[in-house]
Formats: sequence, structure tokens, C-alpha cells
Amino acid sequence: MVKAVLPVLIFAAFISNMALWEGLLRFLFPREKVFLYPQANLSQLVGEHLVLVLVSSALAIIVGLSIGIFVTRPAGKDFLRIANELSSLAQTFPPVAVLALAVPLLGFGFKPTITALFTYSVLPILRNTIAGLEGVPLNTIEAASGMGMSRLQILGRIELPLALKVILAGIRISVIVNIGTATIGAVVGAGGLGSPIISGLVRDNPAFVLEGALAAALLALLADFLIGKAEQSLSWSH
Amino acid sequence: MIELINVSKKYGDIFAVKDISMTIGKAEICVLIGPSGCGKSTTLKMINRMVEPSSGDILIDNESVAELKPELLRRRIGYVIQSIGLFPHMTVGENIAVVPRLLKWEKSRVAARVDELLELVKLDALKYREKYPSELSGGEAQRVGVARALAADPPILLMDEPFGAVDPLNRERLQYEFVKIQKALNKTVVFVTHDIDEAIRIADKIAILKAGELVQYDTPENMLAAPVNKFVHDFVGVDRALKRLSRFKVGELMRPTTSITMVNYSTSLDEMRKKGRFSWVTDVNKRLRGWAELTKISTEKELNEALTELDADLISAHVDTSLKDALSKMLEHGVKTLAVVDDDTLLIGEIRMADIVDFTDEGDSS
Repeated sequence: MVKAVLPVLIFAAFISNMALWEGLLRFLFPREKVFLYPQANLSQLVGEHLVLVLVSSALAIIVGLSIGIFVTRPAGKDFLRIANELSSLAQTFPPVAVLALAVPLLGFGFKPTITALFTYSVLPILRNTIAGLEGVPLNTIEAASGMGMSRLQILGRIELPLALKVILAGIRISVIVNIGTATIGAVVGAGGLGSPIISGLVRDNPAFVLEGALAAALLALLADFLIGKAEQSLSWSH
Repeated sequence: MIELINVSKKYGDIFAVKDISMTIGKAEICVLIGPSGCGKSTTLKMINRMVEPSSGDILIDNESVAELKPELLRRRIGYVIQSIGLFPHMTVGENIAVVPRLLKWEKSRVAARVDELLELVKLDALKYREKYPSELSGGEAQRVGVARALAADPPILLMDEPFGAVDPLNRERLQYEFVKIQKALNKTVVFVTHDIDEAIRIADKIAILKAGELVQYDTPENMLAAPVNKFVHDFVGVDRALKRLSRFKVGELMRPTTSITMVNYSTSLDEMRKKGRFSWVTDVNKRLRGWAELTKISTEKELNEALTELDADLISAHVDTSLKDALSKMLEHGVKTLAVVDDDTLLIGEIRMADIVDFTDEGDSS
């Protein structure tokens, strides 16, 4: 636990130290007049960004896991191919396109962004859930069934624990990609770390772009580290 | 007791199992055997409803399995499969505890049971309880598989080629240990294998299946002596006479014998000379020492000279040795008679090659 908390604290300290950021960006882009995105400070942007990521990822995890479990049950077997194909299809849409399609339906701001991010993140989770569950050896399941476990007990005590490593790997990829992708939310006014990037592009100020991009990259690294830790402590390794 | 009554299983138009009726007695090991695809595994799996029969009924102690909820039925029947199916994310202890936990036993009772079972299958509880299946050898994993099946003390065990993945040497040891455990615990066992030697070694009854039909259901002794048709004859092998000998123990054909002791021999010497030229020689405790040619002996000193002192192992067979092994020993050492000894290598009789040969003739004619 201590080992997991420390990087979070370092990240928080770094993000909230605006003087440090200003110094860094001034050093890199000495010709600019303004170095920090003026509309909001970095902690606020990170907070908005986190909300976008957490909400969309949580939805993606719930939906991806549920569908993945459903299509690997005897009752949902018929939907396995459709689920696989739909999720691949979702991945071929660029997130900006999903956003463009979602805005007329859901308006500007939070909702279309969450929709786009969710659509994009559900695939790796769904795919890995299916792969993980299908990777559980049949004779292990047969043994469990032969010992008198119910379907639900087999799922909860045997299949999910054995598939957990693969499922968590999918969640890890999904969340990390999501942190990067969430920057497009700024296009439709959902805020987050995309705001300084968009603003920087519009005003031709690379310092703003770097401010948002660097913070997003650090956030992604932190998430990668934390989910990796969870993987280690949750899944069996024998 | 398990009764199969006109049990059939159809997949499409094809019978995997066709109209099998048989009764498996309490505390018996019944081995289902036959070539691949003969329906032996399907038959086994219908007993715990892993496969549902298309027609017919299966009764356990006069109760139809069809009336029980599959999960509840299965918790009362131990189940071991070929690849063992140990759960890789659980320790050995947790694997064994699965069924007791399903039955909601108290924690302390489960823990005590796990240790007891590990000792039963000859694994050190302290050393193995916390290990993971990946850290076990094939033989150890198999023992854990048996322990797990026995966990809730079910009256019935179903075993589907449980020793299939173990090397031949360990397999034989596991078979003997398993039979010992089974006899001690009085479990009714249904055991699937394709290995006729395994079947002969462990079975009380063998059921030979062919294309879903029961061809012969009999004791191994009878089956080897009198195969009902060419299929069974071929299946049990050309050496069935020898195999049959492996089912009988030296004790069953043993004759009483006389011996002289190394100290107090003279009293009986004259009488013994009438019976034959040779005599077993034992020490005062009746422990076998060797043999002597009687004609040459009249004094104690001469006995010491006439005594051919031999390693008891070479000239004797333990009373529980199979006739097959005893015959093999006779051939190996070029003798026609072996002394028979008990656990303490005390002389209790002798076994003759001629008797074994007569015995195989008897079997063939019956």
C-alpha cells in the first residue's frame, strides 16, 4: 500500500506546484509571453480530466465485463461473434468521429465526451474478458462442476479468478488509452487536460500544449503503475 | 450400491451408450474399460449427471439420481478426472477444502480434515498444505486429486482415468495405495481406464464395453479365465493366463511344509527323510536361513556343512506375493519350489511350480 501511495503523492505535489511548471515552460519556450494556461490551474484540469476518465472507464468496465461474461455463458454463446465484431468495429471509429456523431444527439459538454470515451474503452476490456474466460481450461471447469459447484460458484470462484490477470491487462490498456483520448473532450467543452492543448493550438502557444500533454502523460504513467500494482496483488501467479 | 437400469445415451442418431444394465456393489471397485469411444466415460458421467441419460435410470441406494439436484448429488460423490483438474489459483489445502466449504463446514473442521487427508495420501500436511498445484509432481498432484475427492467423505468415488498422466512406476504405486485406501474406507468406486493391467490390478469387477454396449461384467479372475467372446479375449491379451495369476496370492496355493531348525534338528530328521531329500532350514525363531540336503546330515556339524545358506529373498516369496511374481521368481532362479514367509520372514509354507501350472489349467477349463 505504502509503495502505491507514494507515487500518488509525488504526482499531486508536482501537479499543484505551479511555480515549478512556469519555470519549466519558461525555460523550454523562452519566446512566449504567457507560459501557463490562464483559464484554469493544472490541479483543476487534472480533476476534470479524472472525472471524464473515471466515469467513462467505470462504465466501460461494468459493460465490458458484463457482456464478456454473458457471451461466454451457454445462454449467450450465440452472441459471442457479434460481441467480438461490434467491439472491433467500435475501435475502428476515431474518437473524434464518435464525438462528432454524439454532439447532435447529446449536446455539448460532458455527455457526448463520456459516450465517445466509453465506446472507445469498452473494446479492450470486452476482448480481454472474453479471452480470459475462454482461456480457463475446460477440465478445470469440469472438475469444479463435477464437485458440485453451481454455475455462479464456478464463475465466481474459478473462472473470474483465473481470468483476472488477462481482464486486468485489458482494463490497464483501456484506462491508459482513455487518459490520452480524454483530451479530445475539450473540443466539445468537457474541459480536462485537453483544454490547454486546444487553446495552445489555437493561439499557437506550444507552452500550453506541453502543459496539457505532459500532465496527461504523467497521469497515464501513474494509472499504469497503480493498475499494475493491483494486478500483482489481485491475481494468482502460479 | 449403484444400479444402472437400461441406461442409454444418444447423440443424434448415434448411441454413445446403449442399454446398459449393471449393479455395482457397495465398497467395490468397478472398472469400466474398453477402446476409445466405447462409452465408458459417458457411462461414468451419467452417474453424477455430468451427462444426462437419454433413457433408463440410475439408482444410488435405491434413489434415482434424476430426482436429485445435480449440485447436491455431486457434493455427495467424489470425482477425479484424468488431468486432475486441480484449481491452479488455490493452494493444495484450498483445493482439498472445496467441497467441505460448499457444504459449509466450520473452518476448524475443514482445516483438520485437510491435514487428515494429506496424511492419508502420504503427503506431509505441513509441507504441502500451502503449496500451489504448479509446484507438485504428477504423482503428488494425483494424490491431492484423490484427497480432494475424498474430502467430504462421500460414499462413492467416480474416477475417470485418474492415473493416466502418471509415469508407469508411480502409477503402480498409486494404484496399490489407492486400493489400500479404498479397502480401509469402504468406498464404492467406479473407475474408467483403457489400461487392462490397471483394471486387473485394482478391480473387484470389470465391465468391458464396446461401441456403447456392455460386453462382459465379471470379476477379473473369471474374465481372464473365461472371456465371453473374441473381443474380450483379444482385449484382455494373449497373456491372460499370466495376468490371471497376478490376481491370486501365494497364500492361496501354499502347502504346509516341514523344516529343521539349526539347533534342535535330530528329533525329526528320520521322519523328514521319508518325505524328501531337501528341507528348509530355519533358526530357532523359525526365521528362514536356507535349505539343506537331508541325506547328508546326521550331526549338527554336518548340518552346518550341508546347509546352503541363502539370502531368504532369493528362495522365498512373501505370502501376499502374486502367483505371477512367484512364478517369475522360480523361473529367474531356476527352482521349482519357493519357501513362503510372512512379514517377519518366518517360514509358514511352500509354493510349488507344478501347483501353479495346475491352477492355470483349472482356470482355463472353467
